[in-house]
Amino acid sequence: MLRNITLAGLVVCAATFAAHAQEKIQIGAAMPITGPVAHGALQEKRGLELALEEINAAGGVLGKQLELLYEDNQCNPSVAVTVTNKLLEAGVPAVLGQQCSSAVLATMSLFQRAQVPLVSSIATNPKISELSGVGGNPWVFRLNPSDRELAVANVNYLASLGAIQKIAIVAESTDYGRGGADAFAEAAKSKGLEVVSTDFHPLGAPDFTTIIARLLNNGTQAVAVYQAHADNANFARQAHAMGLKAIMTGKLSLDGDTFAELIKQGAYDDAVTAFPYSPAVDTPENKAFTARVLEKYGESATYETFAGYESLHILAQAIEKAGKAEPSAIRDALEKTSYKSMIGATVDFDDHNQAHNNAVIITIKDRVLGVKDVFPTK
Amino acid sequence: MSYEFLLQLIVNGIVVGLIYGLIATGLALLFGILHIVNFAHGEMVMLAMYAMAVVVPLLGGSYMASFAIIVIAAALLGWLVSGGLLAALSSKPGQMAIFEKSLLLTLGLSIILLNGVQYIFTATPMMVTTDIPTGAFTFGTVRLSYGHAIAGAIAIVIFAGLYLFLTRSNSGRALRAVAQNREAALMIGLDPEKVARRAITLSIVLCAVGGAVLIPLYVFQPIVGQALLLKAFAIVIIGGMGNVLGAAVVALGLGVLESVVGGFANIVWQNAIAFLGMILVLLIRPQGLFALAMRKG
Repeated sequence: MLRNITLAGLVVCAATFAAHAQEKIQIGAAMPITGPVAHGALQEKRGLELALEEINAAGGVLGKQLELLYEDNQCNPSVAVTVTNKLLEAGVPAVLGQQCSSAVLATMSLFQRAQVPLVSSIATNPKISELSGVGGNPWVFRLNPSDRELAVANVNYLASLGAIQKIAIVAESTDYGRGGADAFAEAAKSKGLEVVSTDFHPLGAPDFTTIIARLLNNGTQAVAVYQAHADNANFARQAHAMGLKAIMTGKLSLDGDTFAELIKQGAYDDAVTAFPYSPAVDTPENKAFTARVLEKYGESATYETFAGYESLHILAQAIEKAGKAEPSAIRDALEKTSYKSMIGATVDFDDHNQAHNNAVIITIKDRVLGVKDVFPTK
Repeated sequence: MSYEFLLQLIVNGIVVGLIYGLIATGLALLFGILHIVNFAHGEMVMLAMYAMAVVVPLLGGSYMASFAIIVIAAALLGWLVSGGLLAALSSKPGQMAIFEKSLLLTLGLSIILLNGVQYIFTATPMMVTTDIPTGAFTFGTVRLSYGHAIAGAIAIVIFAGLYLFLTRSNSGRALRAVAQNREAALMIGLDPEKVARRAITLSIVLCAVGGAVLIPLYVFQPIVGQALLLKAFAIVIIGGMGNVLGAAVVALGLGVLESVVGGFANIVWQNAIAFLGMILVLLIRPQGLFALAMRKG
């Protein structure tokens, strides 16, 4: 009798387990949960979770609930390879994220070999789209504009101000920093602006006094930065304390309490940046989104929150369109993506699997952050 | 480049060196006296920074008051945990030695502290605004920010105090005696447990001071201790494992050298110096620059 009950119990358990497994589609999400860019992963995860809630509350995708399988790539290319292999072995039909350019570049070939799509939404190294799509890796898609498009817009705006002639570049010594620095130098050259110095520091460097001493002495009028935003906040605080008057430009993520305080103290006076997103973009969808994030997490949305949110929605749309949660069907559907982004543009991919969402010019005037312009990156 | 530029680099380097010194001497002290290699040293500095982040706003931004509270709290905490730490590390013949045990224990502690702090405070960059104004002293064209000036001044006071303590007070002499020759120290009636607890407490206090002086300078996140710790290890190895004075001198020298090299050459070389120096010392003078002699056998 007892044995029969146990057996029956086991059968019921197994049946529920199988049904449970059938109801879910697992998506991989690799991001730097620990390490020097962990703050970015925290924000991206918020966006993903918000999108996940919405999608699942609306009945999921293909009638199944979505589930995210997180892995920590530490923003380190070799760790990224390990965790990507882990996700691919788990059999996920698509992976979101990676966040760091070095992590994307290190794992692109793994996605091609496994024939599983990667949707990258934050990494900005221009090389990623050069290597993707036509004549390259058809499995990697990028939603955000690359640093090349952003640098051109940034330099055009700086040049239009007329007062800035000499620019220094300060970047982290990673694929992100070096890609951004090259893109900026190229854009500056084409506009006739002089790059007076270029410094690459390690990611997570605590002290910037040497670089600041150089900038105090080489007459630079603006500093173009390509740094993780914790590093940038640190750099700006030290530069401000040492009395560096050059304006900050390049890639500036100015959302969050720390930046609000630095802006208030004057560390970002007259700063200019071309950035993929700002919570201040004035569309009803973005206003609703930022209000929801603020309500749920008590903090303002950042670029990563936005990127996480839209990347999952876009992937869910592709799976729905594919009709089945299989990698190659999803890849084909991604190619035909047409998604109305909350910051205005319709997201679709070009031959290099590069999307062309809008981007924004953000400026600080009288210690207040404002969106100067929302421009297309097509 | 100009003479003013060189002067600026040297001033920056001295302050950075003094900060390195605060962190490296605590590490050297523990190794010299107890043969404990503390991989959690950087995380203890980080913990002090987050403790400051909690205390400073409670005291209305007062830096010096918060500083005093953190240092006193660290001393009390140090004395309290030192007993348990020593018990955990004590080894009987045939077991793992204290050196190996300390490696495992502190590495584990480092992971717990790092992730624990990230869990509680998240990895969002943290900035603490204190009553120290933003700005710099200017001497001609050379600038020294108020934050750096205070960090430098505190470090000098701490080093002077540490020097006097180690050379003039009986407790300090006892620490050095145990560091020099444990058996002989036992023979002249020193209580090794008491000495060990003092050393641990002092090392934790130095971590707290190291973390507190960084507050007006840095925007930080939980990983901040890691970069500092690697540098501190290189300094301790170059100075002579366990040699406190050696660590302080090497720290100051490294700060200045890094700053000048970074200023005149590619900034990438700045971070290579400490480790190139470490490799050179290990090849040529493995006992360290400031070790007077090495006992063999």
